[in-house]
Amino acid sequence: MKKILLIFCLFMLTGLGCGSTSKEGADNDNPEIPPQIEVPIITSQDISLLSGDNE
Amino acid sequence: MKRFFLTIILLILLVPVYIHGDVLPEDSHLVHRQVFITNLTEFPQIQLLGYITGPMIQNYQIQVIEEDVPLSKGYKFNDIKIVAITNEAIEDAGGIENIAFDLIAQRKPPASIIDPFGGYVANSNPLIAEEYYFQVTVVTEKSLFLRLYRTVLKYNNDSPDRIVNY
Repeated sequence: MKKILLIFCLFMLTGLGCGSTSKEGADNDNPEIPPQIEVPIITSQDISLLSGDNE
Repeated sequence: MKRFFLTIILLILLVPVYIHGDVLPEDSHLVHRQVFITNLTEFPQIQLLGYITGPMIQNYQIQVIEEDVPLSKGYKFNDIKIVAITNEAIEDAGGIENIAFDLIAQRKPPASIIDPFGGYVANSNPLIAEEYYFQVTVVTEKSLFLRLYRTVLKYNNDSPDRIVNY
């Protein structure tokens, strides 16, 4: 019984039981905006490397 | 028997927590957020892709990003990151569906972008929609750069849209 209560308490304390599925979003007018985003480009070389790894 | 009843009581206590999970908090409303990338047709040699992962997705999902079409990640708890690929690489692989993006992501991690799910705000905040506009600025051999150039905020109290150009 103590074990079950302990698990329940841990569950509630860790936030898993406290609306972990709630998602706070735009809570202000200016969310953090990255000045510039670097996006990697996958090239033929990456595809070749992948093929090499698989062989 | 005692343990059985205790388990039942615990389950009864926990069920409302899950039921409440997807419900908005009281006195709050949703903010609709859209993220656009607007000049992709200027770079026809490259495809921009959304790399989507999440609790409802097995492994990952790839979404081809189109110009002026808002990013979408599906379920709100999914995560979308961005990666680009050359048309040549797609041809070499025989199509996007033949590429193991998860393996490539270990070498070239996709980039984070503003979450296209807006979330919610307190009703005291009149904000109802946010639009973020990015454009591709520089393309090198290994990467391209996206720059946020405009933000549009919309309100439900008859205030004019707030447009911020960067």
